[in-house]
Order: sequence, then C-alpha cells, then structure tokens
Amino acid sequence: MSDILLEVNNLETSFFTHIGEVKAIRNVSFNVKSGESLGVVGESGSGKSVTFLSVMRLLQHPGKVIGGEILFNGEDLLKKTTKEMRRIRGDKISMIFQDPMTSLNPVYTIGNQIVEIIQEHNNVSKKEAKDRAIKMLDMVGIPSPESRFSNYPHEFSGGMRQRAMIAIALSCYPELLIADEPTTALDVTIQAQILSLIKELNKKLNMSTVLITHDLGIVAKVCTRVIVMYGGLIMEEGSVKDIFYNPLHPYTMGLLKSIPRLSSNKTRLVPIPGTPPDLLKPPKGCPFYNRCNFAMNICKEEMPLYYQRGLQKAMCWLLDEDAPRVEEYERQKGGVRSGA
Amino acid sequence: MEHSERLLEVRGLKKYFEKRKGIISKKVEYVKAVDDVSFFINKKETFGLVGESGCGKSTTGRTIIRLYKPTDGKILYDGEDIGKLGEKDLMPYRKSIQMIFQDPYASLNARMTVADIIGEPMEIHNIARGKEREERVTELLNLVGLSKIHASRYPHEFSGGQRQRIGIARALSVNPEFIICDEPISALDVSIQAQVVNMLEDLQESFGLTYLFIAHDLSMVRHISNRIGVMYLGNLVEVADRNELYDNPIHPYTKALLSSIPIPDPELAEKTERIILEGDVPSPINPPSGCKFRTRCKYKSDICKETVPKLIDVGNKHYVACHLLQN
Repeated sequence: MSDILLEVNNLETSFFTHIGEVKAIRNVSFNVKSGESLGVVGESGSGKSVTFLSVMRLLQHPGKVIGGEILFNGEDLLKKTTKEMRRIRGDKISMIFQDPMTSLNPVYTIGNQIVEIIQEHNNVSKKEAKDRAIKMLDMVGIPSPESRFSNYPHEFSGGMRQRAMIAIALSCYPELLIADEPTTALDVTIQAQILSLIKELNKKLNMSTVLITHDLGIVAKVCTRVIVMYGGLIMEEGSVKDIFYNPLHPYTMGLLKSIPRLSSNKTRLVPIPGTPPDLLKPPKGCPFYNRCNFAMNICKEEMPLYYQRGLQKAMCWLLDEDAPRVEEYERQKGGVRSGA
Repeated sequence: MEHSERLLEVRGLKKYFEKRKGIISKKVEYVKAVDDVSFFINKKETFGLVGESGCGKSTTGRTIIRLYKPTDGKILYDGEDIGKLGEKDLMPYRKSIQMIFQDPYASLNARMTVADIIGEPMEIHNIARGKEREERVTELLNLVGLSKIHASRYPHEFSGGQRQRIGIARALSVNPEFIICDEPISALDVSIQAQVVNMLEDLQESFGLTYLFIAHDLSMVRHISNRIGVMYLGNLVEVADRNELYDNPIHPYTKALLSSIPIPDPELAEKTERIILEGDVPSPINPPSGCKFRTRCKYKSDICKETVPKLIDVGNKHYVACHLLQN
C-alpha cells in the first residue's frame, strides 16, 4: 500500500495570456500511493484541475509547465515525447471529465469509442476488443450492454454517459484514474450511483484514484487522503479524518465551517470573508492572507513553510513554534470574525 | 416562527410546454413540466423546493412570477388569482414579487452599469428618479455589502459572488415582499455560498421578506427553509417542516434523495446506509402512468400504475403523496 505511484515535485504551471502570466500552479509537490483514493479539494481557480491536466500533459495553449518533475512509476512524464505520452494516456493513466455531455464523440457509437482505445493499446482482434468493451459496459452497470454497445451518446442519459466515460477510462485497466469533478453535472441520486461505482472499482481493480472536487461531502465518502488547494498552492494535506476532525490550516477550517451541517438546530453559517487572490499578481506571502482570521504580519510578507504533524502537513505560519496557538486565538476573540 | 397568514397559495398548477413533432406534422406532444402542484407559503417564511433537474421546480417558480402563463390552476397572491391576469394588471405584482436567478453571469446586462441595472426597475415602477434614484442605489449597494464606487462599473468587473449581490440589490430595489430565489448559490464557490446565504437571511429579517427558495443542494435548503416541498417529475411528492422532513421522510423518493446527500463527515458517512436509486428520471413527455416514481420505486404495487396518489395529511403538517400510506 505504501509504494508511490505518482510523485509530483515542485510543479509550476503558468498561462501566458495577453494580459500577462497567470501563475496557476506555484510550486506544488505531492504523491499518490498505489491503491489509494486521493481527494483534491479547492475552489474554482485554485489550480486543482490544472495540476492534473499538467500530469496528463493535456494543457492547452497558452498553458505551460515551467518547472518541476512528474514521476510516474519513477519516470518523468515531462521528458516523454508526444508519442510516448499517447501510449501512457488511457493505458496507464486515465482521466474522466466533468461534463459527460461533451467528452464523448457524438458521431461514433459508444461501443466504437471503447473498442478504439482497447485496440490502440493492446494487440487484440476486433472481436476480442468488442467482447472486452461489452464486459466493461456491464461492469459499470449499463443494462443490456450488448444492445447498448451500438448506441450513440445522445441515446444515453447523463448518468449513463458518465458510466460510459468510466468504461472507456477503465478499459485498459489503468494504474491511475483521475476523475475531475465526475459528478458535478449530475443529479444527487445519479451522483450517489457513480460515486459508489468509482469506490467499488477502486477496490476491485486495485487502482489508484484521484478525485478532484469542490464538494467536501464527496471527499468524506470516497477518499482516504485529501489535498486542499488554494491560490495555486497546496495548503494542507492529510488523511480524511485528520482534515475533517483536526484541520491545521485556517482555510480548511473556514471551508468546513462554511458548509451547512445536517443538524436540526438552525445555526448560522460562518462564511470565509472576501474573495480568492488574483493569480496575475499573486501575493508575496500566503495567498489566504487577506481572508484569514488569524493573519499575522509575517503572513503578508513571506510565503509560509510546510509544517509536518505526523502524516498531516500544512502551509501556515501559525504552526510555527513561535506563533500564537489558534485555539487560544479563537477563545480570545470569542469565535471567528463575523460576516463579510 | 409561527406565521399562519398565507401570502401565496398555488392550487392545481399545471404548466405544459408544447412540442411539435416533424416539420409540417400537426402532431403535438406536451412536456408536462408542472403537473397539478398545490402548496402555500406563509408570510415571512422560506419555502424550499427541491428535486432533481427536470422535475419542474424552476418552472414552478417561473410560472408563479408569471414569466410563463400557467396551463391550468390558480396562483393566489394575497387572495388574488394572478394566474390569468394580463400584463397591465400584473404591474403591481411585478413590484411585489421579484426573482433572483441562478447564473450571475447571464442575468445581468453586460452593457449596463451597476447603477442602471439596480436603478432601472425603480424608474419602471415610478419609485425614484434622478438624484433620489442615485441615493437609493448607493443605499442598496451598501445593503448587499458593496459600495458607492461600484455603481459606475460594469458586470464583467465583478466576481461571481459580487454579481449575485448585484442581482439581489436589483431584486430589492422595488421593495418587494416576496422573492423567488432560483438556485441563487449553485453557481458560486463553497466559501462564497455561505456569504450569500447569510445575507439572504439578514435581509429577510430586516425587511420581513418571504422566500421561495429553489435548489438542488439539499443541505443548504434545509439550512435556510422553514418548510420544504420535494418535487419529482412535475409532482409534489412530499411537503413538511424542515426538521420533520429530514428526520422523518416518508415518501420512498424523499428517503432516497436524502440518503444520497454526501455528508461532510467521514465517520458519519461510513455509518449511514445509502439508498441508491436504480435508473434515471423518466422523460416528462411520456411520464409513467399513475405514480410517476413507480419505475424507480422498490415498493411499487399494482395500484401505483393505475391511480395518481394524492397528497395526504399524515399529521404534524406533513403531507405525502404515496399509495403505501393507504395500506
């Protein structure tokens, strides 16, 4: 369980737009262990999707990886040629996207699209590829897969299209599945179906999954470890229980407080004031500085270091030995600053 | 929180959309978006309307504010049926009923300044003009957490959360008493959602507003509503007080819907058993006969196929439309 499948070191990605360089990812390091289910949470623009598009080498112009290394099974993906990357994508690493309506090719049948990827990566006959495609459709829970094989995407509902996407992604039994907001476009009852499918397949095929989402509820249900991103940086990393029950970073705490709990007494939500930073002009210090209730002078001037607490780590000056303790801080202030 | 005075009552509301088949064929199909829905909203309360996409919750909201003409049924606002009124007679109601839309990017005119966006309704309804209008705009901007300097800017200069605040200021500009919030927070980031929800609650408190809150985020709906209605394929299947609905759901669909909410607590999530519904929502063009939920229901019997279940009072102001209750 502890061997590392994907290791990302000091990744930096920027978008070179006509108004200037947008530093979407600013020095991000993390790893994915084999067989684990990693959740990546953050708001829109926090860099969670861009990180994994960089891993897949699928960034579109004007986006560009400008530094760092991405080691997959020990080999740096950034040094691969386009041809070598094509062989890895779909075979070793697969990705499913948010919108199942636009990720499938409307002019090919579902079956065709699965067969294509199987034949691309394996030396099998058309017949074998078809059998395997039907098996995949069956595995992801599409009823009567033989007849559904020759349907077009428009004949599928949203939930079934996402299932078909998963079938395509899994058809070569990848070692790593990256799911970018796989259920955001779906209804809750369908979301529940898809999430339990991903969780089940993660166990059954012993593949690693990365689940990119903004919904903390999904993370709690599916993932074992969590990365919290903000302003192009990893703010906190830890096991699901550490993140939910013992968050170290004020941003993580803020996120957890701002979502309604399913409790019967009507309590007021505690929002995080302000808005995320503009990455065209990223702040010198901590990106969360201007929204943080515990901000100190140093936070504005200097980028915080990572502090390790067991298996959990967070990027925050508050965890420094010399900093005041957050718990005391909260007690003194009588809770968190209210309102925006 | 007891207010028994009804502000709005909807009786047997139906909204069918015509859909013509073929190029010259006269065959007309109907999309039954809202099919016989009845409920009421008391003064100063928040009524939540939840359901999956395509269940007709937004259409219900849009029909109440008369963006659509109802196919059948009554919309009683303060006792007056506004369902059949013409544009001219509707004018006073346009002032008292306002709406906040889902997409803060699409619902503000990109070519108008914030001052004009917020000020225009005041001119249309003869509330304020000129300098007075200017003052009111500033006042409204302050109310929603923006300031005077924002008045001369254009929508593209604002973030999603700020735009939603502008949309709220526009709705408030004509001093409405009833606001329909159609998924007001679903396009916003988690950390911004709480800001907007708190603001809506504050405004309700200070102006005595009544809300119809339409959303698919069940945990947020529970947070903000006093009473909640659950819709499925154009029908209201269950209505109850918020805690009653979440603690004691009766309709099989409500049960499944509630159990599929992702709980942001890993230990609790592990313990709770999820009811996972099979299949998808059927098309509203040819909905199943009888109870529309029967195609996905575990407990279906013959009667579900034949008759449409009516909302039955099960006590404690809790209404459920399910044949299971009769056995």
